Amino acid sequence: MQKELMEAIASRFNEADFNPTGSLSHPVLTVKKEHLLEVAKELKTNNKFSFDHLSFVTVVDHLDRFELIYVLNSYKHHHSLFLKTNLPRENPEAPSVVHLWETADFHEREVYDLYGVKFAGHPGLKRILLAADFPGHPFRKDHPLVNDEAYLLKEGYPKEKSD
Amino acid sequence: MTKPKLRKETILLNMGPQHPSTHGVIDFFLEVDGEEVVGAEVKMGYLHRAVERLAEFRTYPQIFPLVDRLDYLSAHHSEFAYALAVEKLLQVDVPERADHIRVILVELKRIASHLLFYGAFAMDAGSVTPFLYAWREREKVMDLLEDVCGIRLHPNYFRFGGVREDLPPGFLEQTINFVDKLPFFLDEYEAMLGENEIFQVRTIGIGKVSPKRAINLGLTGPYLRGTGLKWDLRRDEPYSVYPKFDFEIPTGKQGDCFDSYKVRIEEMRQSGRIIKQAIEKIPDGPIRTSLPKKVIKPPKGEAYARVESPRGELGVYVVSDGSARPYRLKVRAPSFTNVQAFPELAKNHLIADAVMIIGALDPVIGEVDR
Repeated sequence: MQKELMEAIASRFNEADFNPTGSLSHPVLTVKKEHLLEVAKELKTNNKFSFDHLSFVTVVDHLDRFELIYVLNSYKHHHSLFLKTNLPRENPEAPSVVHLWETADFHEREVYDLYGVKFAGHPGLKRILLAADFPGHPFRKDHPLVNDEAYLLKEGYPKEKSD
Repeated sequence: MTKPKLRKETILLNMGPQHPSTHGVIDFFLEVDGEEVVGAEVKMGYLHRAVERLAEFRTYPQIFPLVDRLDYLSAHHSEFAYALAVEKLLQVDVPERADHIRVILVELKRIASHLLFYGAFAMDAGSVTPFLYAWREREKVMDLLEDVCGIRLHPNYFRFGGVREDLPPGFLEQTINFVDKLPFFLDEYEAMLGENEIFQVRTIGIGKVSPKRAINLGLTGPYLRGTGLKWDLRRDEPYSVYPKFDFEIPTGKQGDCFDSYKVRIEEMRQSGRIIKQAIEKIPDGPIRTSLPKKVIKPPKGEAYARVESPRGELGVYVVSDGSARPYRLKVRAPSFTNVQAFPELAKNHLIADAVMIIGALDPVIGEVDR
């Protein structure tokens, strides 16, 4: 089943950089940020894929880049996929997929809250778990685990305006 | 003299974070027109402990107690998902006996969790007695789990490639004894609450949602099955030894609070069936695969494993960089995603009905905030 899905994806998205090895549990499709919306829409609406369930959206901080991951599942075909894209660590921004999967709403807000990735076109992008005036984005690898005042008071530390 | 125009406006109402019907510290921010909810927003984070971030600083086995504290009403399921994800990375097999033990415990915990739902849901509807009945049986389940794990809520019992200890003597007999009585208890519950006309009026048609909308909103678990969609990860994406067992997936028709209640009651019966079959089929043998190295260092890679928890799809996503600590751990919590549907479900219902909808979504705040 996974093999069929990978073949179908490879034939449809030949221009996108497809990683045929996949992870240990799921096939992986890595696309450029500009193609993300287009590919996501195709994955959802094309009957061959019909990924109608978005499990979650998350980010892995690789220190030189952010890896944005969408875990997609299909109730119809019983298959799953990791859709990935890479973002720069400076001013990371990605298109929002809320209009495709409404589940993405809270998940994108969480990613914004903890990693500072902005989602263009999100209906109400604001912090979800932390207080509105929390300094910085604490899940980034370079954020200290303990509350280090010297670090937080450092000059030029990006302070979010309250929303 | 002209009559002054009557001014009408809506009121913003904070239901929470300290409110008995929210089942924990979460704020349902309502916009009400008289008694009617016209808009809502969910505010969370009061219980945020950054478990996923803390996990990056701990070794793999040290994370079991952390994931326990997410969904504290069904901690076994969190451990199960985490163990499955890391086992995928390590590519170790689990012995048959350990798999059966896992399934028995997880299903017992599902019964315990649904019993708590039953009691709390009845309380939301204004009836206190069923809670005491549900607690009577829940204590029996908790006693059984305590016999095995040594503790009631946060077991730290799962291990990579198996479980911590073997079952104590007499456990299987006691469990069979309990499971045999379960259908009679459930009939009693149904007679007490499900067939009660006041309860039916309070729940039928409240929080209705279509299967299509439910999927788009990301609802999983009993509420999704209440809409009529036959989807259960135990059957549709089988893990562990579930394919061996014969059980049904209860569904509802309308997708309202009453259907999700019915689905949970029926699920308890099915859990009883699964436990019984697991006890019949449990083989002798080892309870853990011994791992080649003392320090667990999964190879570089990523894996996602999901299980059907009492609240829906509970998944754990692990990224390993080859060291003894995970590079990234992400928990896909069903409660977090389910409360997202609340504004839509509660719209144009009364405030008292919004309370029922929260009860039917059954969020555990430890899991919402993580």
